[in-house]
Formats: sequence, C-alpha cells, structure tokens
Amino acid sequence: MSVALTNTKQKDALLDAGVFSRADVETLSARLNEPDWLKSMRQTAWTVFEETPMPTTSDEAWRRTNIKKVKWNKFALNGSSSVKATQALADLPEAVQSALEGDYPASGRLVIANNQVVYLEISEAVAGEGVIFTDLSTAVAEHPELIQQYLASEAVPPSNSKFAALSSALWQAGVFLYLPKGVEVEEPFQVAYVLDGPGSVSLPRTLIVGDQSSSATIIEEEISLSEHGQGLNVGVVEIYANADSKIRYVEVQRWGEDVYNFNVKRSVGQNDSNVIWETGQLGGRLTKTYFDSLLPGNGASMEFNGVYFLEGKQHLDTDCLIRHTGLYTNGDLLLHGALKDSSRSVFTGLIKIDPTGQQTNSYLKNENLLLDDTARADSIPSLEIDANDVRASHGATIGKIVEEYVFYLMSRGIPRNTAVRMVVEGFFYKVFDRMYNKRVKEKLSQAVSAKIGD
Amino acid sequence: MAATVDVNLDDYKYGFSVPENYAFKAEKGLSERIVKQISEMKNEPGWMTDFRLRGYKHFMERPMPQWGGQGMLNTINFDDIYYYIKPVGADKAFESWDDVPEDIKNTFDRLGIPEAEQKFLAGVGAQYESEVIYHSIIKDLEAKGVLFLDMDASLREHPEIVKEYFGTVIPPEDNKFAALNTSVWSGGSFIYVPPGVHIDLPLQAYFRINAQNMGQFERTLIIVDEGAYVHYVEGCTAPTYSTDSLHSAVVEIIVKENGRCRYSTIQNWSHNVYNLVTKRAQAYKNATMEWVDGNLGSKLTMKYPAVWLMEDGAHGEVLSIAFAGKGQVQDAGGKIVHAAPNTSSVITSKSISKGGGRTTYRGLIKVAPDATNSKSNVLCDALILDDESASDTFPYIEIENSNVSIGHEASVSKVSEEQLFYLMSRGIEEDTASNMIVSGFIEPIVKELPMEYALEMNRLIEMEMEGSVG
Repeated sequence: MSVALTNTKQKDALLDAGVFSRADVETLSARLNEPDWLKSMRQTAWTVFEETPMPTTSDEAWRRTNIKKVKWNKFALNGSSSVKATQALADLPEAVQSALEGDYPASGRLVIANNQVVYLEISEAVAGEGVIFTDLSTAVAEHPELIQQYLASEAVPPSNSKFAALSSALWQAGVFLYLPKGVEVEEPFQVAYVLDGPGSVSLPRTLIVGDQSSSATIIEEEISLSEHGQGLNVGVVEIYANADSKIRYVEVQRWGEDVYNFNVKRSVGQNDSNVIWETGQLGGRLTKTYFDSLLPGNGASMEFNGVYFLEGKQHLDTDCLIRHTGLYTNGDLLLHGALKDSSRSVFTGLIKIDPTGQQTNSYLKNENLLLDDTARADSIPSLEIDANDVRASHGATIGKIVEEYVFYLMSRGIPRNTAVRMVVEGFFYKVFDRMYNKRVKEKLSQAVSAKIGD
Repeated sequence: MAATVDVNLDDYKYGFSVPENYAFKAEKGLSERIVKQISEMKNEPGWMTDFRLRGYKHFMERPMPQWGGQGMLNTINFDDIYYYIKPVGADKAFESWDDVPEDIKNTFDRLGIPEAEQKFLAGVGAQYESEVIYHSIIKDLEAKGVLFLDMDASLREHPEIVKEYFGTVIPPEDNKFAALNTSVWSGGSFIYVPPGVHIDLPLQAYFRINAQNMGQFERTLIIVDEGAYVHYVEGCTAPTYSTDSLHSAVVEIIVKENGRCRYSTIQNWSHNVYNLVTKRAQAYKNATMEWVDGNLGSKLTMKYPAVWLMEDGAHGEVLSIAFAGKGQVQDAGGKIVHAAPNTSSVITSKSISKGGGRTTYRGLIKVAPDATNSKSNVLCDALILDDESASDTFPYIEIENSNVSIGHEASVSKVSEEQLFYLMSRGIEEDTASNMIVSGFIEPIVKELPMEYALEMNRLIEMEMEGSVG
C-alpha cells in the first residue's frame, strides 16, 4: 500500500492578494534602467516565487508560526515616505539620527526609507582604500561584475524559499559592502532601514563581500516611524566571507508593533574566515528570521550573540542553522530571550555536521525567561551529525525569574520593579559580555533596556 | 580511528527459527474482511469488533509520517504481511511447563526462559506468535488479587475492566501505527494491580516473531491502582529472516494516585524488523511512571515512550538507550506532557552509533498553561564510534507557563582520546579500553535494569562492540 501525497494546486494568499505582480517586476527593472542579466534574474526569481507554495503550519519550519491570518491585501508596494532625501544627517528624523549614532565616527552611513535611498555617506579614507559602500542599485551600475558574481548566488538563491524568491524578484533598495583584499576597516558601517506610513512594504537586500584577509563591522537598524501603521518587511542578507576575512554583522530590529517581518540571512565562510552575528530582536508583530551560517571552508568559524525581548502579542520565530562542511570548523551560538504578557517565541537551532566536517567543535544554546504566565516559549535545539571526530553540544532552558535574586536585591532596599529589571538585564548580560565590540555592546544593551522600560 | 566491524546477521545471537506449525494463518494483507475474521476467530464482543474497524478505517486514511525514518517506512509493503497467525496449542494457555510443545520449548530454552523462572521471577508470560501460550503466575500474586494474563484472555474473563480502559490512553486515531495495531492486535499482556499491592519481583514476558512476513501486533494494558507498585519487563528477540517483518505494538498504562509503575524493555529484534511502537502512560496524583527503554536490534525503530502527568505531584521518567549498527536506524526518545501543577520529569538518553548506523533522539517536553511549578530536565548524550555513523538530536520543548524550570542539554562526541590514553597507559588493550568506556557511558541506564537484563545488555553491547576502536 502506498500513500500518495496530494499535490493539488494550493491557494496562494500572498500572490492572490495582488500586492506584488510580474508587472511590478518589469516596471521596477525599467524604472531602475537595469541591465539585461538583472532583468532576467528578477523574472526567473518571480517564476520561482509563483511556483513555490506559501509556507503553512504543515511545514516543519513553520509549524509554530501561523501566517494564515495575515491580511496581505493591507500592504501596498511603493507607499510614499515622509523622509526626504538629504545630504545632511541633521535633516533626518530624530529616530533615524539616533539609529545612526551621529556623535560617533563611522566608516559610512546609509538610510533607506520605504525602499528609497535618502542618505548616503562614506568616509574618504575608507573609500580611498578601495572599499565600496553604496546602495545596491548604484552598485549594479558601477560594479556589475561583483554584483553578478555574488547577488543571490550561493548564500540565498531564489530557490531558498518563498520569501527569498520574492526578495530576488522585487528587491528595491539595499546595501552593498565590498572589502578589498587585506583591508581592515576599524569604524562600523551604519545602515538604517525605515518603514513609514500604514501598509508600507520594505524589501531590503544586503550584500556583503569580504575579500581575503579583510575585516569590517556593519550595523543595521530597522525602525518604524509611524508606530501604529501596519507594515511588511521581506529582507535578505547575504554575507560572503572569503579566506581569512572577518565580518561582524549587527542587527537591531526595532520594527513597530504592527510589522510582519520575514528574513533570510545567510553567510558563507571560506577557509579560516570568521562571521559574527550580533542581534537584538525587539520589534515587530510577527517575525520569522533565518540566521544561517554555512561553513564550507576549512577552519571557518562563526559566532552568534543574540537577545530578544517580547511583550504584548509579539511572535518571534528565530531559525538558526550552523552547517559544518569544512574541516576543523567552529560554531558558537548563544541566544537569550525574555517574554512578557502573552508574547511567544519559537527557537529552532540546528547544528548540522556533514561527513566531511571532521574535527568540528560546535555549541548552541537558547535560554528563555518567562516573565508572565501567559507568555509561551518553544525551543528546539537539534543536532544532525554525520561525522564522528567532532564535539557538538547544545542546551535550552525555559524558566521564570529566580526569586532568590529578586529577594536579595529587595533586601538591599531596591523596589521590586527595579530588582526584577536588574535581574532581567543581568540575564541578558551573559550575551552582551561576549560582544567584543564595545559600541555594538552598548547599542544593543541600550536598545534592550529601553524596551524593558519600567 | 579504527576499522569498523560489520554486524554479521549470521551471527545474530537469537537468529534461529524452528519449522512453522500453525492452527490458523490469515491470508496476507489487510482488509475489512480480515479484521472481522480476526475478531470472529477470537469470539470477541461486538464493541471490540467495532473498535478494530475504527482503527482499520483510520489506518487506511492516515498518511505515512513524513519524518523520522520515512525513507525506510515508505518501503514497507503492507500487503505482504500476515496480520494474524495462531499457533497449534494456543487455544488454551498452559498451566505448567511440561505441557508446552517440544519445538516451542526448544525456542524458549535458547532464550533462557526456564532459567529465568528458576530464578524465582514472579511470573512468565511468553508470547510465541500472536497468542500467549504459556503463562504462570505465582500463587501469592493471585491471592493478592493481581491479574496477569494475556490480553485475549483478559477480554474473555474481565471484559468490564478491559472495556473501561482499552484505548483510553492511546485512541485508535493517535497515529497510523496505533491505528494498525488497534485493527489487528493479538496477544500482549494485561496487568491489574489492586490498591496497595506491592509486587516485589518484576513480571516478565518474552515476545517472539517466528513466521516469515509475520506482523506482531501485541497490545498491553497495565493498570496500577492506588498506592500499588509493579515492575514489568518486556524483552524482544526475533529470529533472522531475509524478508522484512513488522512489529507494531501499543502499550497503555494507567498509574493511579500514589501508584508506581516501571516498564523496562530491551528490544533486540533481528536487523530486518520494523519496530514501530506506541507507548504511553497516564500518571495521576503523586504517581510515578518510569520507562526504561533499550533499543539494540531492528532495522528501524521509531518509539517514544510517553508519560502524561495528569494530576498534581505526578512524576515521569524516561531512560532511553540506543545502539545502532550497520544499516540500523534507532529513532527513539521520550515524551512528557505536564498537564497538572507540581509535576516533574526527567529524560535521560544515551545513544551509540557504529558501522554506518544512525541514532536519533527525538523528544518532547510540553508544559500546559495550568501546569505551574513544573520541573523537567532532559539530558542526551551520543557517542559516534566511526566516520560512517551518524547521530541526531531533536528535542522539542513547548512551554505555555512561566512558573516552570526546564532544562535540556545534549552532547555528541567520539570516544575521548584522553580516557582511552589513560586506560591504555594502565596496560589495557585498545579494544578493551574502548569497550570499558562505552560500558561506562551507558552505565547510568544499565544499572536501572534488573540484574539478568543488565548482564544481557552488557553482553550484547560487548558483542556489538567487538573489534571496534573509537
């Protein structure tokens, strides 16, 4: 007896909502005056998008994140933004300025509001070393060979998933960072993605290529200007870390409370490269983000230091893959989250070691603090191991705040609210303490403290 | 790193078979007619026939699971299996050992059952094919009101108890293989322990598959009444055959207030058996349920003993050990559902893979919204002995309540060079040293087994380990 899988054409809520169409792809290519290779790349990606079924709760990766009730027709592509293009940082809205940390030095700054580039700067010294930091469309015109080589290639091709295909077909603005061989950039590159106005759609695409022995830090902050507007973000980040390079990618996700947020972020690490992910996931109504680290190169390593703090009805689904394919690769992931009200987090973390991945050393841990009875956390740390000479371990904990700690602080005269807050901050500091870059550590810890509030 | 050793099926310890001799053998394959025929042969009451048909209907409708060993699952040909075989002499259970037919006795001799009895084990219920043919219960147990008989007999003799509990822990619609079992079940054990009765010696039953293409679908129901205690031991061995056999059992256990039940299994089917078993227990107020689950044999095992902690103070434990050699997939683990406050649970899993085998720990800890003050800890360790073998860990943790303490840890590694070096520096051969490390690795679980089983377990692991060095 065999069981046939029913393969009837399923309804595609996202496609049927009519927010995106093949005509949009053509209009976009024409508007941006794109070369033929990019036009056909977008067309192919659109076909993949059409043919890939919408993820449902029957798919293991989406079992705990239901997007059936998202009203896709509430979103509109090309919504206008109140943020006007400018040459001066001071002209930008305060929230954007604060995201860009104008008081500190930076190697470059870029602001994209509702898919429009509104601000771009790069330090002359850095540009003088051959570093490219610009918006992705400009890069297509000026450095087509690099973009053609890397964009939507090994890391996140359209075949990756429904949302990756949509991004490949319709990305509108993005970041391109290229580090030439041997160039080490000290100060970070800072990017702000802005959603503005109800129903806005953002389709950001970040492409980072670090050539041999280069290094840099890039900080992306995601903010909503109109707090209560519904928004949609479909983003892709690709990081290509070539031999001996070191890329630190920082994400401060502070979308407004009505933003639906879908991302695929993936790095490919060649021999002896090092990719560091540092994330604070704080905003959004519903988020599904993949942070995938592929380690095909011998001696390649990755590190992940992440925190999340959720409240209200926020739903956050974080999916991390560490794939060890090369020899003696290293992985180290730590993700701490606290949940208030009736928020919910889902964590899926997989350490996958291929038969070739001998002498891998990998660790993954997710800890959750439930601050209210109605909060819910699911944690699924997994291991798939096809090599024997390895060390791989993982852990997950879910628990409430330790009352002894709170009691101790209260016995010192600290009010309960403050004591609880201090304990929660202490819980997050186990992650912040691993952040080597002082500015990143400060930025993320401040963002978390602001979210915790009183 | 060392040479790997094939697990040679010819050397399989219990890989012998005696000529088949049957009173009745249903035709191959499954249909509504066969389900009815089985029920009719057994003179069952109408409600059981309906129950079987309900299972059959669901089995046909339910798609094959698309996870775990789905690659192997899809190769099972359900039309090529005998769903019911009744051996000669099975019409009545034997009162004494002398009455058991010689060929069946020979089989048992090789399994060591008479010795086991000589060791004053409490009772022996041995299942040969689909009927329990030999059953003895020590007199004082009977006097205490303990019921220990095969499932078919219990349906004849105690229909009211069976009807009350049968299928309440695992409904026919639970999963595809529970549905299959419901439709064609035969044999298995029924145990009822009255309130306050403490059975000191473990109750045992051996199950064997002897006929080619013979499915084994036993059904076990254990009811431990208030304050009672029982330790049930199930051991499985099957002779080696060239075509694949299917074993799909259902075990339901109910442990009432302050009761305690321990269920130990050493599964050592020959390496061509599909072992797809559903085991679940419900533990009520302050009750304790423990599963000790060893998986050594079979081609594919998918088995996740579960405990539902139904009332305040209930405690659940799963100790799981798996060994996967060449061509084997051991997809095992445990599930705990905290459905009430102040409940606690522990899952400990140890697995070893070797010679191309794959072990998978798959588990679930679920805490319901009302289950405040629940505690759970999960620990999984895996050893991979050579570069052809693999190991996976998939622990699912679903928490809907903040007042909990849940921890999970897992590690996968090879035999530690330091430990090996230390032992070898003491003059111990590499083989022996490696063996000692593996024995030490599984020790926390083996020590929980009754002595005869612990010895057999260690012997089996040693046999599987022969010639391998980590």
